[in-house]
Amino acid sequence: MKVKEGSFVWYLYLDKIYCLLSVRNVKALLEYFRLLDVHHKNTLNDVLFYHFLSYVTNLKSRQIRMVFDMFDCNAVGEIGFEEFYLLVCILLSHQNHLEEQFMYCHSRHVFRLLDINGEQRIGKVNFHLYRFLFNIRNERLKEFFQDFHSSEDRRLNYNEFKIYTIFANEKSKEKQRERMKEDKRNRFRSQLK
Amino acid sequence: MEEEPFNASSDHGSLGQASGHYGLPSGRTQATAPQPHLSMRLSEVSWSLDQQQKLPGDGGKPISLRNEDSSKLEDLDQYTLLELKPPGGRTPGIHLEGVDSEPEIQNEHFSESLSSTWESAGFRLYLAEQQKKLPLPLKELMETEALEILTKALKSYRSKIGENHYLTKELQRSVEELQRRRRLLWRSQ
Repeated sequence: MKVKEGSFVWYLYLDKIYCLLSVRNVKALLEYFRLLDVHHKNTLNDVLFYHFLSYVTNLKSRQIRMVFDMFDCNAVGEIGFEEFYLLVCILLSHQNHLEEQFMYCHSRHVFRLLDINGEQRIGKVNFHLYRFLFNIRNERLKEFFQDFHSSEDRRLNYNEFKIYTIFANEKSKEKQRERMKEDKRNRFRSQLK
Repeated sequence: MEEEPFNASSDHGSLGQASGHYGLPSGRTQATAPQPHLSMRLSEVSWSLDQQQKLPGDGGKPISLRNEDSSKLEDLDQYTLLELKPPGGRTPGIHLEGVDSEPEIQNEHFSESLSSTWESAGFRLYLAEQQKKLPLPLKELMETEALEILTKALKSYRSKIGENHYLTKELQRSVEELQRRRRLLWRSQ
């Protein structure tokens, strides 16, 4: 999933530690939301939401509909500014490869979004369905289920999901550090040549 | 630190020769000195310059006040310049603005500083006002994008719920409003 380069959302800056927008960015986003809110209800219906996401990202129709269903928690057929803001933060965190950091910082919100049936438990199926948005890797899930998971049905409650986000975040930072070391080594070798 | 002025005064004789070269130490006396002493000598030279300007009450001042001394030095230069100017009027060929008399100079400075304060206050107000609004290029980008999205949404509305539906009409009004704003902007550019 990619955010369209040169679009308004693409220009917003996501803080890399808290994975949130600044107040100024939120103000600009609110103005943008109000332009799209043509019916003046402080919400976007499914048609407006669909056209917004299809313009701003390269998601397919099926994926856009899944995202709408995920954010329309109350099943009213509309999403408000709070959900819109959360979606934009998710899009930007995916764009900046900060999915694990985002899940770690906002685990409660992400758990609520992934728990589409409202069972307070999420399993591999949920993770797999929304992998395009959160970039949850199968091998990491397997590793986690082997090491940490306690219940027999291999579904996570919130506390277990929180531990998973810490685990995934640490793993991704480790990988980044290894990549940086590898880059330094390659640069050093090329300089020696 | 207070010992340095005494060192300066004791070396005044030797440095007095150097002061003719704008206070820089001469090569014969200073070239062989090690660096820390050289820097000390330079500070002593600045002291000697102060001494020569005959500023009152300078003896025994700590180093931290030397910055104030240099600013006093600049003020004194202006005063000495003023004193050198003939009292009758302006020197021929030389025009110095606001140098006629001291009170007038002070008034001029005061009014200048007032106007600059007002300007800076006005500018700050302008900035504060601008900070509440979004910058124009950003607003333009938002409106252009929103227009494209809403135009496509309008096609979907027309195909799904028809042209006469009140939601379609509301969306159509918003699209027309955005188009009008874009046209106004292009004309103004």
